[in-house]
Amino acid sequence: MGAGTTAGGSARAAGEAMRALLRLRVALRGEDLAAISALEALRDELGAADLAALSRETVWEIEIAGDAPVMARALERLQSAARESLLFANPVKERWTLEEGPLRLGRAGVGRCLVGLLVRDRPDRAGPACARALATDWEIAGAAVRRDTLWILDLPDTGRDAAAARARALGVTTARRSGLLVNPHYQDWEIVLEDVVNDARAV
Amino acid sequence: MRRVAVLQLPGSNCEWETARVCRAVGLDAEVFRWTRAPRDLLAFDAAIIPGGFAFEDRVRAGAIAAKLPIVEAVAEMAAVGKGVLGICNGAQVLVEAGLVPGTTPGAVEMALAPNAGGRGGYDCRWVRVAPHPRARRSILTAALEPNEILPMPIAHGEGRFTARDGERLLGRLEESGHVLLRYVDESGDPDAGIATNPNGSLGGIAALCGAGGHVAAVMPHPERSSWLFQVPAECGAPWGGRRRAARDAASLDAPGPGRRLFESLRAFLEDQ
Repeated sequence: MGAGTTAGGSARAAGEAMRALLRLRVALRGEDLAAISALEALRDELGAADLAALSRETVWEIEIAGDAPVMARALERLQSAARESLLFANPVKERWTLEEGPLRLGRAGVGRCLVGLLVRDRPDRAGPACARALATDWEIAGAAVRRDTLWILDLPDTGRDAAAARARALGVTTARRSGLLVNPHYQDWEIVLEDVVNDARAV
Repeated sequence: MRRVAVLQLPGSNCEWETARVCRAVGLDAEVFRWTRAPRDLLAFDAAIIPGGFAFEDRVRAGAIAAKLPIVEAVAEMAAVGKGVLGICNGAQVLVEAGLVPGTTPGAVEMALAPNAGGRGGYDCRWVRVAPHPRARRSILTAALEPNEILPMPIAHGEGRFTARDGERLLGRLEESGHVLLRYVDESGDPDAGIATNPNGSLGGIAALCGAGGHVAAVMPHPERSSWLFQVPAECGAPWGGRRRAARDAASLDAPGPGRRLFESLRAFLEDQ
């Protein structure tokens, strides 16, 4: 990690409008104490003995539009911003990847299932602030940026629907004894399964 | 004398000064560590969750602490009508635990979200609060005059009372007297915008209570304005004038505006 894949897209003629949806994922290099505390609270206080692991990343979703030369320049500058500034990640303590395509959660163990819970503050103040910084400091104009926290829950493989329901029950706070990772009164959330984004915001 | 437990959670940092103000108003206060047996808490007449950063605000402010067995004991105290007060981080814990506003028992009905409006982020400054005209008698308002304006400091990054069905809930809470304190300007006007509402809180809410008035959450820090020496000299009338007029140690040790909330706590507990 640290360098990233490039959003290529198919070659198109100059002048033809393109759009790229990129994802810059940032994770701590060392132990994530927030994730450890959350895992312990879920297991010890909310009875989540079936939760084998819990990890956390910051996900910057960046949408860039323009013709081919504009896109190429923007992608180059985005990588520079990630590599040379602290806008997205502090390289001393964090690592990052730049990717496109479906959000990947990693490889689950035998009999296990990884479920993602994407969480976004409402309003998202960081995304627009990042877009302004990209425009003023890195000459990437018109980018739409949003900032999410991605929790990845390692659960028993009981089928996609059951795993998603279990992640929702553990993640979305509805009562003192139910849910920890999202407060839906000011946060939006989505359940993510490999290759599928299940828009399940309604509690 | 009423017994008050001031909880020390991992990350609390206001427990000793909170206990000190409790003693100053005639309460028997004891700092109670979260590692003690939760059932010991039930021997007290009230519990206060003080300010700080329980569990370093990991996940969200108050979220992990709200799941602790000790907070389950606090919920038991609330259920039998004992006093429960959360100050700043303690308020965040009570909201995340579903104890405030508590219109549906156990349900988390609100959030204390990141500050909005202004520059956002962590904000540490003096503000003014006043009782809502419809505020019910509660552990924070029992001793207050209707139009009393109380300056006190805030120190939080997540102090915006909000809810998914915000305006509708606000109407219900105001109607039922759950809204205890609002941010106001020097004249007592709650509608002066970001200059008075420092975090974009729904309806300018600074403090809320649950049904019965014995469970309350307040975001400003009354324990940091409970002596006159804590009040800034440039504070508006009347507290700033009193502060400027205080010339010796004895005068500076006089009660400050925040103590009025602890006097309410004592008055409420003594009437129970």
